[in-house]
Amino acid sequence: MPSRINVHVVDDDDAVRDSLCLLLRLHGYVPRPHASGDAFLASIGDAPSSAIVLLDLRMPGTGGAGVQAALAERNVRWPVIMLTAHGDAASARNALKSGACDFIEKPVDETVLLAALEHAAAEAEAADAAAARRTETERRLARLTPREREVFAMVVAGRHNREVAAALGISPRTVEVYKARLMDKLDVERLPDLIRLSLDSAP
Amino acid sequence: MTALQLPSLSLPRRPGAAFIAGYIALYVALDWVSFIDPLGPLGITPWNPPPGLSLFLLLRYGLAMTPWLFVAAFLVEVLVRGVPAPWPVIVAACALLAGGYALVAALLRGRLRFHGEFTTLRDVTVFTAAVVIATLGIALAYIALFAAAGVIAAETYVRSVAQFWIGDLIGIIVVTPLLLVATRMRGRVHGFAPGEALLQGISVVAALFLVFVSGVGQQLKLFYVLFLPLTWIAMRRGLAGTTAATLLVQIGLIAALLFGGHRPGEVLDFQFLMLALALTGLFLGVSVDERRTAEAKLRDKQTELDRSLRAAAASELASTLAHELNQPLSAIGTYTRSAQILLERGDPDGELPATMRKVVAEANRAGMVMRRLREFVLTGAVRLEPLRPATLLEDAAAAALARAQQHHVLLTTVAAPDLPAVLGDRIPLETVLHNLIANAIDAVTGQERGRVVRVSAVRHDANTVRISVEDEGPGIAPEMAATLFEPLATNKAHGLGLGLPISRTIVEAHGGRLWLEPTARGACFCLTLPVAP
Repeated sequence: MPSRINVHVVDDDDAVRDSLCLLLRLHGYVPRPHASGDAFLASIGDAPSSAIVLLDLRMPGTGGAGVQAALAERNVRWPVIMLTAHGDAASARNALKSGACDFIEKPVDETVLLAALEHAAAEAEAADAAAARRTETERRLARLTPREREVFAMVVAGRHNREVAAALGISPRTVEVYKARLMDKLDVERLPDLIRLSLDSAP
Repeated sequence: MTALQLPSLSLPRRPGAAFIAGYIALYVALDWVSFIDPLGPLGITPWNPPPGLSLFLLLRYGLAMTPWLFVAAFLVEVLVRGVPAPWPVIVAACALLAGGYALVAALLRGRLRFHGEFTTLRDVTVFTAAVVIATLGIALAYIALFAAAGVIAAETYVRSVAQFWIGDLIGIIVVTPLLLVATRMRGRVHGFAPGEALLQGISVVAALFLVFVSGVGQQLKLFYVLFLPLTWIAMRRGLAGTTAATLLVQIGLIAALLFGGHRPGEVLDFQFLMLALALTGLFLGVSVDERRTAEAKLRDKQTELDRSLRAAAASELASTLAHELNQPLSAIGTYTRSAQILLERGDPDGELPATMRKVVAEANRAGMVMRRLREFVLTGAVRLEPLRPATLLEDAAAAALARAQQHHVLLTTVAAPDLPAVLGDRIPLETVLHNLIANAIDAVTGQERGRVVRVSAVRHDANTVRISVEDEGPGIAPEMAATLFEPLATNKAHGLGLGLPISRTIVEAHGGRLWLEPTARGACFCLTLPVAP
């Protein structure tokens, strides 16, 4: 059974929404029902915790495609599973092109739905982990002095101590001292760890 | 297109001996009756219809007719004209006439791509240009031949050429198009209105009367009056009308000059005016025909468009229905699966009864959708009117004909004779029949042999007519037959499975029935409709 991950169920049809929430709850997910795209968008706070979105394509007001666009605009990177009517392949293709992670035809087949959710959950977890690493790295980098940050940038770019010393107008010995200090502050012991950390910090 | 003033002529496919003898006799007779105001020893007349007959024969039956042209011309020289010239000259002259017209016909049929039906302005233009040039050439050569033989004097040379040319030219312009149009292979669309035709004939005679009887000494000046009835006839009857009217004017003109008396050479002056009249008739008539053909094409397009719009409306309805049915069906599936899981876990929180109630509610909702459709069809302005079963069948089949032809399916409609009219709304019934025929066509397209779909109407009982749509396809599987008329039951890859349920609803709204008739092979769908009181 997957972790108790939030699933936002956005569908204007009461019965479809209610039945999906029941099935998801029975499979260990935490369903969050929304009767419209607008209601769903309004409910998302400033700092949303990770979740999956089950989104109906055909809704009055803001439809599935509109909600998808609004999420991207707010930089909310939740995996979106589009619910489409039978045979609406063109809309489904468009949804995938604009970044939906999957689409499911109604009437919903349970096996297909669960597989899509698992895949989405894995994606959400990976995104979560990456976000966590990024926050942590940024927190550590904040401790460095401007000079230390200069040295850090050059070292992870693959420059030798002598080159760094020449570029900054200091002795190679001093560079060694800076390097030891910043590795201490960043809590890494080896050069490869330092490089991995620099990769995590990249947006 | 337009009805003909003269009864339509039917010709043999291949000319037999009697036909050719008839042509020769007619040729000689025409030459004899048109022997008016002859010029010089050659007897050149300013009105010479026989070449018109000859050119028609060549255009209709090909160049194989050329020898008979020679025979006819030769007989005329001997019997009617009695030209004082040596035999070799007469033979050469007849050969020149036959060869000359054969050459024009060959050019028209070949290079100039003249279709011989006078349906386009191009046909008329090409024909007129070719005939004007050819008759001038033949006139020059013919007169030169006899001048060389010393039969005609040099001072009458120019006048002879002019008279010969105008005589043959006008003979062709008046006679050939008339015969070609009257024997057109294609059928005419509009009926013949005898009353109006009579009135138009009277108007031509009245105009002739005005010109020749009341306008003594003014005939040439008053000639323009004849253009008025011609214009009227062109507007109403197109080329078929103007060619007939032109002949009438020509005959009237000749008769008036013959019996009313005329100065020598005056006939030639009239014939120039007559030429203008005949050409105006040709061009005006074909322009009207072309416009009418274009209008008819546009009307056909419109009818086609109406049909496809109707089909689109039906498919739009089906699509909306599919969506509306999809929601409760989707919910039912999900609730039921949840109920199953709850059942497996022993329903710890007592959620099962509520879930099952929701399933029932959704099933009812799906039923409501179907009931709404039924009401829509029932209240959807069903306008009952008496309909001819034969027309109903033909219209529905016509809409499916393109599809049948595309898949090489033989589609036949048979309505029993003396069937009474049925009471129904044409458009939904046509939709039902079209749907059944389309299904039948789909059923047979997959197979090599037996691509046959039969639509028939017979008397079912005292109060109903039965319409059947049969195919020789693989038939309906027994397990499929049971649910055939239920929504979403389909064996088609792209079908919604709504055609038959909707069709049955429509037929039942008319007080009829729609069912699958058990057959040895293929499938046979039958429906009944009440006989109109």
